[in-house]
Amino acid sequence: MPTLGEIFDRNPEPDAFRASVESLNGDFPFDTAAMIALGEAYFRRHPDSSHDRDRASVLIGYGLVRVCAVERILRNLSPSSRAFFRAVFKDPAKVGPLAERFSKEILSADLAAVEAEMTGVRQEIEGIPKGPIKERFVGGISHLCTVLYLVRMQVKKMGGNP
Amino acid sequence: MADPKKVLIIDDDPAICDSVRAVLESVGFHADIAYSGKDGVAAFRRIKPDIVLCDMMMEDLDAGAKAARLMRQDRPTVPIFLLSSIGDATAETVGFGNLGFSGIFQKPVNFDLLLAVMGRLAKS
Repeated sequence: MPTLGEIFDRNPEPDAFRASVESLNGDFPFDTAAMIALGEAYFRRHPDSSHDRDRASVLIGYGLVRVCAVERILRNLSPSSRAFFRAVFKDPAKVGPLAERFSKEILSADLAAVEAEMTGVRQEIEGIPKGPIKERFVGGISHLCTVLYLVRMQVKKMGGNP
Repeated sequence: MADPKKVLIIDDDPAICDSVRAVLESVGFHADIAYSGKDGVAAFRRIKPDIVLCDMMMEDLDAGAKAARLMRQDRPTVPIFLLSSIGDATAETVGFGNLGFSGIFQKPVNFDLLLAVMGRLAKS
């Protein structure tokens, strides 16, 4: 199985990388070493320095991280739950309206599963040495964590136990 | 919250701006967004927010600190919080007060803590 770094080297355009990673259904190494390898591959193509920070390149980096993290944290969900989380990661304002399609029990259980996966991802990110690779991973997952907080708020509104 | 407090979110990542705004608006704040330090200072002067949440690394590595200093010059008492993926490192090495911030929240942000702080500020 190719590593995420190898996938990026072969598919450096964001849409191609996304398609390639999504085809794996979350079944890929995503430990600290794999994260560092992906980061090194990304920075070879999008070099960063203290005096030259290109916003487009930074956003590409966050996007790569999000593609991988989303595939990882949703890998054990049902197709309908995956679709829900994908939609709200894309548009957080849809959490309330889309959550109404689920019972509070299902949403609460799915959220717990996703948060457990995210905890694992965050632990692996903690192992990355301080520097630009870690910054892209932390920045990348921040949006996802904020959306999960929104979903937790929604579960509370529905009377569940997040 | 009878009179929604105005919050300005300054971050060059649109996804972060959208998700943070969704959290804040779900608890009754009114949130505006700017995607750079420069645009953030202009929005600050135009909107006159009650609270500012600002990233550090945007068009420059220290764009957030530059923006905070300018906003402080205009309205010294407005709370300006740094939300950053290098927040902990910034706090350790420089100190948020020296950069013009009222406090630092490391990304991913602990929203239980942030909302508690903002709630107290909204009541004061």
